[in-house]
Amino acid sequence: MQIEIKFNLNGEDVSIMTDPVRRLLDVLREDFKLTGVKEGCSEGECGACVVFVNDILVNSCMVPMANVINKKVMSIEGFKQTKEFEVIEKGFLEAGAVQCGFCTPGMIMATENLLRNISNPSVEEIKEGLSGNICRCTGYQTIIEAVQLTVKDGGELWKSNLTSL
Amino acid sequence: MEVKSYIPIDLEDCLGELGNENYWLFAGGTDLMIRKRQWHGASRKFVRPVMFINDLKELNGIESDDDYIYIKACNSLAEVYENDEAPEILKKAIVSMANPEIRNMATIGGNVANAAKVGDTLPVLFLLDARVELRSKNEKRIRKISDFIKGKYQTDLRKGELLYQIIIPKKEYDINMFYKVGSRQGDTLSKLSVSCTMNIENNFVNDFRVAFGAINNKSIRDRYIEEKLINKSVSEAEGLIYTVLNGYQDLLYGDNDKRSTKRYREETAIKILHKFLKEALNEK
Ligand SMILES: Cc1cc2nc3c(=O)[nH]c(=O)nc-3n(C[C@H](O)[C@H](O)[C@H](O)COP(=O)(O)OP(=O)(O)OC[C@H]3O[C@@H](n4cnc5c(N)ncnc54)[C@H](O)[C@@H]3O)c2cc1C
Ligand code: FES
Ligand code: FES
Repeated sequence: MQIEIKFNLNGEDVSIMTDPVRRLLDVLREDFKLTGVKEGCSEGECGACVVFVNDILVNSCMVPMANVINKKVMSIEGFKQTKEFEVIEKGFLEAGAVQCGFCTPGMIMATENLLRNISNPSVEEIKEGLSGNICRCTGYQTIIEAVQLTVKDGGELWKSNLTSL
Repeated sequence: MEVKSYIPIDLEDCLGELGNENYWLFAGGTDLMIRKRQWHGASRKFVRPVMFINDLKELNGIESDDDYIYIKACNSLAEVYENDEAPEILKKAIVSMANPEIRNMATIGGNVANAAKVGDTLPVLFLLDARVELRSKNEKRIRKISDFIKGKYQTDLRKGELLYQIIIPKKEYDINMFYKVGSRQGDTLSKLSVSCTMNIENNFVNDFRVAFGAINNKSIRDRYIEEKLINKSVSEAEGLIYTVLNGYQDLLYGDNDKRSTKRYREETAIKILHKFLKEALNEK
């Protein structure tokens, strides 16, 4: 069944004809060519596909289009335009937390989500905050360091609890 | 074949339509999207029509009065966790579940209605004496959670009905514990869980509750065994610890499955309860 579904994607109002049971992940990758959103496990465990829907971090492989009607979706491509992204990216590069890079968009989005909630997280809080993201090459220690570096260099950004988009 | 979808505009519209076809209710989708994995691209595996209820205003929000807290079915686990009035022990169960992204999507109503053996909110809701309110076009029923859950993936939900809200009596629990044995953070489906609360006043046990999850097909709660300790002095209660443990031992019917073995489940559950009782009774 095809219906018209309207939503806001990375700041722009969009509308598509599609099946409401189709996964947001497929719409983003196939219809909008937003390939920074990755498909890893397809079952909510790896976090490669995460996006913000109305500022709430979710796995786009689990979200049917019916659940984004009239909502605001932000993928890594949209988040890239923010100051927060720059700071997190720098943290990840400096810590050497990227090898193949497949998990990185998800790790960056989860880091943003974590820092929105806790601007100066402990190691335990970082582990919990990133517990929905799996990396199979870098190792978690450097990723934790990347988050710590991010906080050290630009932690002020999250204290106001606002994103710049 | 593409399946029919229905996106109701409000609860009245939803209940009106629900009786007309054998709809699959879709809330957060974290159980359904996995069961219907072949959803990639097409939606062939969905043989029944789907109705989307996650965003219905009437199924979201948490209210309370002097006696009860009312949690609407489509609150996400994260929303329940963040609510000031939600019972502490329920919050402990919620943070043990899945990962932050899943907790943002998974609804409490979906966890209950799915009635999985490993559903982590279930034993806690048994312990809290929760009730569920079910609604259909012309009827509203309230059932004890322990009657609503009939077994593994089995509930008393009737055709044309949905789970509207979960009703939890307000009560303070002085000591409360949710202990879950799983294997991996981020995807921790229970091998077993033990939920316990105890209230002690003037050296007397005035309330004691236990529920075991993920061992039998349905969560275990037994008021008769709990009452052995109620209104007993702390020292009398200490003398009854083994009577209580033996009582529960007889109720556990764990299976061997891919997550664990029967013996491991039963022994571990009893050990966890034993530790709780020793600590709770010695603490005062
Ligand atoms: C990676 C991962 C980890 C997980 N870890 C855990 C865990 O640790 N512990 C745990 O308990 N669960 C876990 N789960 C399972 C799942 O997240 C929960 O069971 C969730 O609460 C289900 O809610 P939902 O809204 O996503 O349900 P849905 O998938 O939308 O629905 C589930 C079932 O309930 C029915 N339903 C939903 N809402 C209603 C309603 N209001 N009235 C009647 N029927 C309804 C649906 O028809 C369906 O049959 C995990 C899932 C994933 C993907
Ligand atoms: S692809 Fe969505 S969580 Fe792995
Ligand atoms: S860098 Fe390869 S999966 Fe994380």
